Amino acid sequence: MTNSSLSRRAFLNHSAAWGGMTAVAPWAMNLALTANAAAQVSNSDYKALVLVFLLGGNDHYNTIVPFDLDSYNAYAKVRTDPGAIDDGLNTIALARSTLTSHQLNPLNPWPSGRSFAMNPALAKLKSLFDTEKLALLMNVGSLSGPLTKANYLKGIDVPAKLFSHNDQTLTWVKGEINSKTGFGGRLADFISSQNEPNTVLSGINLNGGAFLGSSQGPGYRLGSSGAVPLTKFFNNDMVAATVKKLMLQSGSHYMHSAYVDLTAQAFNAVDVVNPPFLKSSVAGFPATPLGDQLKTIARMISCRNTLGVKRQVFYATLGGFDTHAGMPDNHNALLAQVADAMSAFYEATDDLGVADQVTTFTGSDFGRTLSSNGDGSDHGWGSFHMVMGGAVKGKRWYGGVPTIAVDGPDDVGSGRLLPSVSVDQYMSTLALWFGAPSSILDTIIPRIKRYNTSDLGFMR
Amino acid sequence: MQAIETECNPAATPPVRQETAALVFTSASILTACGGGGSEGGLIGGGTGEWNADGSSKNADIFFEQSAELATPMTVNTPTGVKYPKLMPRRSAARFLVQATFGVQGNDIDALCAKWRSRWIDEQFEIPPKSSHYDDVLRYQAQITTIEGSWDQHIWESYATAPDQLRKRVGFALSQIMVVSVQSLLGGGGDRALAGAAYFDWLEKGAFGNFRDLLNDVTLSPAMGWYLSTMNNNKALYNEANVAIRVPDENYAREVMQLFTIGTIELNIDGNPKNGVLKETYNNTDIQNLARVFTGWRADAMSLGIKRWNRPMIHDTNRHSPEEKKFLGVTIPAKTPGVESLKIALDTLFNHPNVGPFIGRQLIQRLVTSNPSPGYIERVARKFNDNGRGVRGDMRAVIKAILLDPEAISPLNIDKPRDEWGKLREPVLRFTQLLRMLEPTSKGPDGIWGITMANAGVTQHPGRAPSVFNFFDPNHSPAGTNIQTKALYAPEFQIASEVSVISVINYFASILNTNPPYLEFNYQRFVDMADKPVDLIATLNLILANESLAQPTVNLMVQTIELLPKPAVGNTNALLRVKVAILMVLASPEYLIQK
Repeated sequence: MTNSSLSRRAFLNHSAAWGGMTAVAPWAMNLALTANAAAQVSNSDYKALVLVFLLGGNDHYNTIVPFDLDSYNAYAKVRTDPGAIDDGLNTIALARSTLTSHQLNPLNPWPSGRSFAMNPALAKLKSLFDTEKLALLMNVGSLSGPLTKANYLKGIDVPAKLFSHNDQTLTWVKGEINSKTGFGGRLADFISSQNEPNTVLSGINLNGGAFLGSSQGPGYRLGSSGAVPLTKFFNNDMVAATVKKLMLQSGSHYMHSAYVDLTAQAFNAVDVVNPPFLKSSVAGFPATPLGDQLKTIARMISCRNTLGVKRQVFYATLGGFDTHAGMPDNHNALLAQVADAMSAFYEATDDLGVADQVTTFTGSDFGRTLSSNGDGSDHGWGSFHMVMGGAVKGKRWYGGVPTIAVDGPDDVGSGRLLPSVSVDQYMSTLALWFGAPSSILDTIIPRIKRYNTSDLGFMR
Repeated sequence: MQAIETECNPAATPPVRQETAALVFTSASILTACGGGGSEGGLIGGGTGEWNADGSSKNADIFFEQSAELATPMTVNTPTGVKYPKLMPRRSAARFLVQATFGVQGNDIDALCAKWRSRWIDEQFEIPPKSSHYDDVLRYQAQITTIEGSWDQHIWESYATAPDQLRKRVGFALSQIMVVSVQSLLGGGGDRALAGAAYFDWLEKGAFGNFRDLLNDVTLSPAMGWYLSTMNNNKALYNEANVAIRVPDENYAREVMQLFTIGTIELNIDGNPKNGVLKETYNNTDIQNLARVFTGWRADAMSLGIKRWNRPMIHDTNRHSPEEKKFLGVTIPAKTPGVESLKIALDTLFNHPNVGPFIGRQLIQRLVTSNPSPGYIERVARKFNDNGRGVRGDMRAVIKAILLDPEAISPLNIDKPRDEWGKLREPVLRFTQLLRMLEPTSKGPDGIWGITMANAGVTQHPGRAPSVFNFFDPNHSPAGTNIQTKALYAPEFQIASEVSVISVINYFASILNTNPPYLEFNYQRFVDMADKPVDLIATLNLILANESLAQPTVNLMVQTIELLPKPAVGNTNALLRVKVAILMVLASPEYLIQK
């Protein structure tokens, strides 16, 4: 590692992408392919992928809301406690009258008799949908492979630890709970050579997490005020220099060396990232946790030429979506924050002239139950997600439209949805757009060959 | 230490790895050490055979330490002829205080050296809390305008000054296993903050009680009731077609199993997957059934005012699910009353064979080391299962098993720590160590502290975990490091980032540079050493790092101090030297990895 660049450590001792897999050879062989493929990509362009992860399990039923009368009635009935016993009428369903002007009219029609509306809190994202900058992914979730309800009920090919927050979050962002690396990190490994010498900036975390974990580290963490420099302690240069020297003192213990590597990267970033980053500015972002993160990403993208980076994967997160209680008000407020931040981000990328080169997509631990506990909903599985950007074939829906019913054909209990399409396919569609050749797709998404298609078609 | 005594056979070859034995043992006469760790005994070992005049070993030996803890005369003679060492080595004492307290204060080390660990622990078991978190936060709320500030200022003061350090340290560990994020309650106003404070009181009560009672208190805490939405959780409601149009909230039912008691995978007593197979402990049907148990609970009577936040939730029969509840192979018949249902459910969880290894491992991780050997986990789990007198869940026995285990007390783990040994010090404990060492006193009204905004500065804060999954996952292993390559865990790395590694040092420097409002630090004993940099660094190396700083590091620190202006009467040079010395130790990675 030099002081003038943020370089990833050399590829060392690659083990299999999956924790439990012992076959090292195919992974190493594919890495060689990876390097060749990367070299063929033009260096005159820029692309970024931005995952906005809604921590806690977003209530998709209150995000993209069933609107045709039959579906709406099924939704509202299950989500409304008539108050026969206690506190009077209590509903977590959105009133249909508030949804009328938020109906979604996609270019590819909904299945016969079906329709959906966006939560009114997402009005700014509906505008992007209407202008073909945003698409919907219907009923996507983590799978081990194609899965029928019959096989689910028999326990065949069911993903491990369904409905558990941390396990399903790890599954969502890594592909498997015990995988050493994340989807984004494997993608970052693949493209990092295009970012020489600042390869560390291939995967950037705004708030931590496992999505960008790679053979090179957990992903670079960028704060909203750039890299944090060391204070000039007690106004004494010698003291500050010694403290820095001590912080970088090498040691053989694994925890010691891992901590020092992290510290070294932090110091290098002060020299590399801060000069352009601190001069950058972007306008129009709300002062919210997610707004700050997406603003920081936009500022980083504005530095792409100075930093010489061509491909970047970003990971932003927003907590609070585990809405067992306080529905629908708390959830509506969270969605408004998402819509304000994401729409501001789209505008910022447009201002920077990279709207077609930056794709933002949402993820979450899981969807939720259709059933209500009177004040909220519970952990589910399949969910509805959004993909935003100029390269998205927008104003369309992809995946499968589920029947809205407890005990319906897509329900595996209390309205938990059996996913129609997998997170693997969601990721692979984005990876292909990002430039991953289909020949090496399975190094990034190891199960992708189990599906009949690796491209769900939502990217141009 | 029943397990060790029974497993110990002094005649047998000690279970010490060859390479470590060769490095450390210089005296064959003390090779009778026994670790009781079976094949995991590689982490334990012996001393160098150097002796002080009083009979203590200069470089402690595990056998001596165990002999002393057990008050069992040794079977070999020391060079001075005593049967067991009189004084605990200071380095061992300093390390123990890191495991069992929030840091060394005043003469803590000397006091412990005279007592050894076991007696110190017994004394700590009997020290009552000076005051409750509930009362203190209430007092702070009267003094300080923000609800947030009342919690923050109180909790740092409590951890840094309370005499019942072991209780609070274990309570802090439990607050990271049975998580209520007080942070999420603070936004809900003063009442919720009080419930959060009471929750910490109840955890500390449970720390020295029985795990079964702790589980009951955690379940019925109003803070938990808010946090995992058991409060006002209602039975199912069915429509005319007998379809449920409202179902019980499954939040607590899931997390009490996944995080607070048994975990997701069936375990052997040593913490490994049972029979080597990843078999899930429960499925969603178990959760839906258990969720029915946790219906009907609500806050105590309004007439109690704020006091109801310091009382368990009460049961409302009308809201309790009357249906049959089947989970984990147990059936609670339909129409069983709610209080009885809860007792059966919590008994079932408490008696599950996973609890000992699942909770034991995490307590070891919070107090001692990130990667305890299977043998260490098993020794602790066996104490959980039976304290030696037929009692399951005796937390005092569990704490002793954790803190007196050969792995926890082995001096080898300071001298030649293997890569699986030790843990990254979490920022909260780094900050409390600093605070305790500096013996803060308040000049503020009613003795309040002025520590605010510590969350951003320290980068971690008691009671402010972002979710029920704590600040970090017990199974976290940082990507792209040797830690991960070797399949080791390092939970605290989950909150270490390019942002935090530098900003926390800047924060500590700012605390040293400018006292927080109202606080006065006592630097005097260090100021007295300012013209003797070798002594100054040696003292800090002992207090903060249990002498785990290597000689080149110590030399660099001493040289740096010598380059600073010389102390003289009437100037502040001495204080500057002291502050720089403290900051250097706090920033050193050799200190940062607790060994």
